[in-house]
Amino acid sequence: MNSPSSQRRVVVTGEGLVTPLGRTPAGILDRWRDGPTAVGPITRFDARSLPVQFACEVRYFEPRQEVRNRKLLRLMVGGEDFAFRSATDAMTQAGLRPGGYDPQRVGIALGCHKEGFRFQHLYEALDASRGADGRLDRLRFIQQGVERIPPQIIVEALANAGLYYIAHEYELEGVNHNLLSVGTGGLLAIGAALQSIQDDDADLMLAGAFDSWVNWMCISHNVFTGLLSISQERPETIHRPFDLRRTGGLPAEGAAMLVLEEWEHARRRGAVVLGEILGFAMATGVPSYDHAACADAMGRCIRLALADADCTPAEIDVIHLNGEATTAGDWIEARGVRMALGARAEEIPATTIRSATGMTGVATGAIETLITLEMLRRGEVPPIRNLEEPDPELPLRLVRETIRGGRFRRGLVLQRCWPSHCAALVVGRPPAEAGD
Amino acid sequence: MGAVSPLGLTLAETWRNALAGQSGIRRITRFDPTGWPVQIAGEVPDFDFSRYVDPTTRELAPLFPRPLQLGAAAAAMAIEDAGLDPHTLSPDRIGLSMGALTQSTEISEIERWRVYAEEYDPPRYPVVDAELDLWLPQVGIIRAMANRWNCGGPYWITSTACAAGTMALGAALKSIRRGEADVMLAGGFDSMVTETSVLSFALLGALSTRNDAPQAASRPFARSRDGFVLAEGAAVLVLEDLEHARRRGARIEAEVVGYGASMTSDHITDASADGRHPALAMQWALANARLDPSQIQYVNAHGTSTRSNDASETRAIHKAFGTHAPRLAVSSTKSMTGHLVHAAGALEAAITVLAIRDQIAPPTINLHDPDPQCDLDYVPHEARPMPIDAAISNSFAFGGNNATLVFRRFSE
Repeated sequence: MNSPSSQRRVVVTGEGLVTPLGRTPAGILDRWRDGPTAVGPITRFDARSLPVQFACEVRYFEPRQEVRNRKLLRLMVGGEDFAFRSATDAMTQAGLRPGGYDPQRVGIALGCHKEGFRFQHLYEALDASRGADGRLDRLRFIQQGVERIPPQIIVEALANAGLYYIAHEYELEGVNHNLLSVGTGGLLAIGAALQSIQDDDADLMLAGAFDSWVNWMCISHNVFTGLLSISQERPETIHRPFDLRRTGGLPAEGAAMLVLEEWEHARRRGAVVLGEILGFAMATGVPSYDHAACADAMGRCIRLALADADCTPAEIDVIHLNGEATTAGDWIEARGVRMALGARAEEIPATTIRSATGMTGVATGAIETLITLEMLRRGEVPPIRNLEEPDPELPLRLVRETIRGGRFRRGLVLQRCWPSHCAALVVGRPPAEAGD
Repeated sequence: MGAVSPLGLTLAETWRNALAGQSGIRRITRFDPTGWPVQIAGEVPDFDFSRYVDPTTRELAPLFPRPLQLGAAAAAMAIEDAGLDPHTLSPDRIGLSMGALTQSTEISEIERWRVYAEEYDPPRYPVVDAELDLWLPQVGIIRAMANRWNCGGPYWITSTACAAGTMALGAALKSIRRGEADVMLAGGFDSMVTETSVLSFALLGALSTRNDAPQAASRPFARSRDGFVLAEGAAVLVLEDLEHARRRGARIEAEVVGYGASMTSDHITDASADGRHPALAMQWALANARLDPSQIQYVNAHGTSTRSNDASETRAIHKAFGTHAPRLAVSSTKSMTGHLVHAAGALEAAITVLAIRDQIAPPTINLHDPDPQCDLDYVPHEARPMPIDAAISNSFAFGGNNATLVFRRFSE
């Protein structure tokens, strides 16, 4: 649905990525197409007793090299350092630094999945609080233990801390959104930022998301949700979206941040425009356990996103699928696409990077938005990795070999997450180039 | 509107007690606080969730964490109060916007989980089941609310600590204004009366340690204030597109006319020193409402009772309202409820609406020794009947998020 102020067009002028496949859209797309995958044994902690022992980790990221503000770095948990670095890269690419913009007109929207402070901070206190029987003595804990707990646990536990660190670094004073999510948060943050600029609450927004599933809690949780595969086959081939033998994916980590900017604002300062954000919508499948209702929600949210972008199914040239590779999830997604796009769903090349990056959680939507923009710029669509036997019940044009030389103007980015939320974003090539 | 708070199991009871200047702060009973630096909080006494369970939630309800129970109860009361049957609407026209946080892990759990990790080789880890799944509000809200009330539209879960409830309402307002929903269930829920939360805030020095006088502990704008008092509760407002409300003949309590949000990005836990950033949120909210500062009569302050917030907020109100500031009635209902954190902004929004409906400003209690740095009219001790055409509600968060909502008496 168009708002009265949607004549304010929103373009992307900065991109920052920290993903298991690398940190530039071009490099990530190449590695998605040609490999190698990022799958490897989990190194971040001893996972030998878990049913999942492989993950797509961001191996090259040395936090002390990446985040210069040591004081903030000490407080960062759960991938906040990935987000901070992505924001730095996006702002640098956009040519923005504090003093170079009106901080009241610059805001931030962040998707996150925060679970609290590092439990280790309490260990020393607990050790100092044992009674004669070795058990925790509550009074002793208060009298002797508490003083050993670093006061920073409150800051670590703040769900909005990641947003603060970035806002602090760039002295942002404007509108802001901090959105909790299981998986759609990246698209929600971009959607909220899009709306903030359209509605004239800001001229420029940093938007994106971060997550890390490479910890026991996320792995255990997503074994429970069924999103992670416990298959014992060769790890590189486990994640196979839309395949008959799909069993889920592998945990991963990462972040992506975008600089979104009102088009006139970008033009005035001569910024390089990397793409356009055209429309956004979301929906929830209710009741959440009803697959048909979830497919309905997926279809509805695609239709609403197209309407928001003022564009028809015929104008969509590529679909970036969610591809969680669960039996129900892929069925729901394919069904929803089909409901929204009709027969056109069988013509539009549909792919996903998911099986190459792994399950990047909330960060996924933001990562995939940037990769989709790269596909549009290059006119190239890499195939879905590990897709060997497409499920005949999922009638989409699933990409199995790289498509090159296409003229792709608009892409549709889809996300679905536990238990039944979904979101869709329509993105396009830079406005001038698209000839409109 | 619906709410559960330290002042009552319903919004009506909460409002009655607020107007009577009652305090909901007591010695903590949810855990044994003996020897703790902070032993007081605003608990919801005698809360019985079983009254709010229906067939769609019966199976999982025993696993709902307490904040989610409080939230689902407030939502049930709000739906009833609005006279709304959500199942008569298409699911894409009803959305949810809530302020919430992941359930905090208790000390005993951390201790138990640590044993798994350290006493086995290779380390073992707890099995995550349906219960832990519901700790995530982004999951729990769908299970407890969306499924039950057919909310298939916009879904925003805002987690901005002390400002979350206000920002959730702001997001809901946007979704309705943009035509993305006809009805939004919007609010917040929280229960930080837990060992780890009390400890975390106490370590920061943010909490009042007036353990011997719980009811006098939360004293916003007083010279002797020594921190805020944690509390639990929930509030949910049914926001509705005007035409939609008219068509179904709904009772309209007030109009939400404006929202503004800004960032204080210079310190993570201290209030904006000169009040500049909170003032921006107020100014933007007024501009969004197309109201002049002089058109506001009542301010429901963030008023936490910390040294830094109350002085900062006072300066911010001066900045935003200029010469009109001394004429405002400004009260902090946290003096009675304590600080509901992720639910605070939602409860205070509901209270602000009731202040407009009943033309009465609730009081700031415990204000016996005004701080000279806090020089506004804080409606001390007793509620004040007065004409209120328009009012604002402020929330400012740890983490720097500032948000203001503007409400107005509804008129054709």
